[in-house]
Amino acid sequence: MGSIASLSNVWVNYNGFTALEDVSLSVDEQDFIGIIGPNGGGKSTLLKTILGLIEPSKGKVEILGMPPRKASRQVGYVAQFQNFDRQFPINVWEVALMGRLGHAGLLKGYSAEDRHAADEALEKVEMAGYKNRHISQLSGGQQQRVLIARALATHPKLLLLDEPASNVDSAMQKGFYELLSELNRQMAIIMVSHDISAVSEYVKKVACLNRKLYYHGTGQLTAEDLEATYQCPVELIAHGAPHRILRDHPR
Amino acid sequence: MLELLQYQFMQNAIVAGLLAAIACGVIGSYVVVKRMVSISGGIAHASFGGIGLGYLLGFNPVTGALVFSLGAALLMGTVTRRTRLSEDASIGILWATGMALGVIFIGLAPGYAPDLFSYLFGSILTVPTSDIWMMLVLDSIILVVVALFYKEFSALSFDEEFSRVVGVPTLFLNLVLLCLIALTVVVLIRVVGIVLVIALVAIPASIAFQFTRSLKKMMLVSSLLGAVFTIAGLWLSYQLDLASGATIILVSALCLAATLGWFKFTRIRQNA
Repeated sequence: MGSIASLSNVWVNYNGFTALEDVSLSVDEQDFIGIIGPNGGGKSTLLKTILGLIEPSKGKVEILGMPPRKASRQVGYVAQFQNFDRQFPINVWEVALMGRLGHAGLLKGYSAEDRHAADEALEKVEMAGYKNRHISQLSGGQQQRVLIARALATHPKLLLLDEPASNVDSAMQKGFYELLSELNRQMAIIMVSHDISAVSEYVKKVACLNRKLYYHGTGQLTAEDLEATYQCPVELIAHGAPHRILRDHPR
Repeated sequence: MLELLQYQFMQNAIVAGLLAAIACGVIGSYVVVKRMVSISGGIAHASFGGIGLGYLLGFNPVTGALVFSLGAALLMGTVTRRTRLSEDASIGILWATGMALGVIFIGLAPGYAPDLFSYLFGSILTVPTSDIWMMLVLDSIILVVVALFYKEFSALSFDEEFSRVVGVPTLFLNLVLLCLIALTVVVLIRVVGIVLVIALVAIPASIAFQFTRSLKKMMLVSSLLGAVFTIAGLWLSYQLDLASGATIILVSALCLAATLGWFKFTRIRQNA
């Protein structure tokens, strides 16, 4: 298995505040890593460091064997949905095409290949029938699918998702996570989430992040990890789900 | 009105109004969707320093305004990224500093400053033909640059972070967009004046924003609205002997209020 991303002893400081402390993480092909942790624990910072939007103050980040800024065209990124103006005059097709900006290049229009990639990406997330819809005419789940299509249009080897289900209503969440599982056959995924139960069902490995990263490269979490992450005792509940993040534990 | 068209000053006024409408429609749309109205106000007011310098050194004050507004645009684009000054603070500071420079320069210039009021509040009936040519050149630059970077500017306005991730040079393009705002300010100075520019940039685009769902349509509709407002304002100000720039702005503002009221009303009726 090839290495998709590796972070070794990465520190990120902003104005004297440490957001990430000595974080090491290695991501391989086919990985589906869920990252949970409290608000302000550095989850979004970790994703932005992988994308090269934030420079680490110490340590090394390598994505697809390249520095992050060079590799970021081959990384699909789906940011937190709160960042968008839903009234912005743009339709589904135009959003999906944005994923091709890096490929199309400056001073040129989108090529036939770019259009094909955007088409394919919309089909993959089952939104091809909504191309001419304005983004405000979609449900939260559909909007999120369009943003995933935009990330897929870049033909990524690694997909980064920041709280992807926060805007998806609960009835639609199962289908949404199943889509991610399917995408995972073609690319590694790192998903940041608050939703421990969702993470437990669909991801293959789990990490806890609260400045420090607690990660064992397995789908199982320990009570110690969770306590260290949330800095308070966390009750462990084992789910009877296909993937289990928590070990069975004595009552 | 028709017999007025034979006068050179009236022909110039109408051409100036139409040229202004193109700039405010295209760039105003970006300003509104990218929430840059305050930055535009800052750039416009800072350009007063250049007007003053023109009076002091004896060149066309509009040329001075061009240099100062471009300088202010570049400063605003870089200062907030390189220092810990917030964007909000830097806008206010550049806004007032540019005005202060203008006041000092005009004070130092010998004698009386003719037409000063027209630079501040516009005077569409006295636009000289030389300024019409300048407006035409600036409009052309604006249209060519927007056509070249259309997909990047749109992406940048919708989602700057994603654009950066896929490799769009966002820092550079943000500066280019700010410079286009500076050019728009200069195009509009003769029509509505430095103090009122911000309204002509924001109002037509804000009306278009209410009922268009694509950026291109928004630009087209705001340009048409800008043309209607400047011509209607010009005609009203001539008939009622009012200040032209202020009349254009008030016509625009009333139309915006009517549009918002209409949308509110139809929505209530739909829901009833």
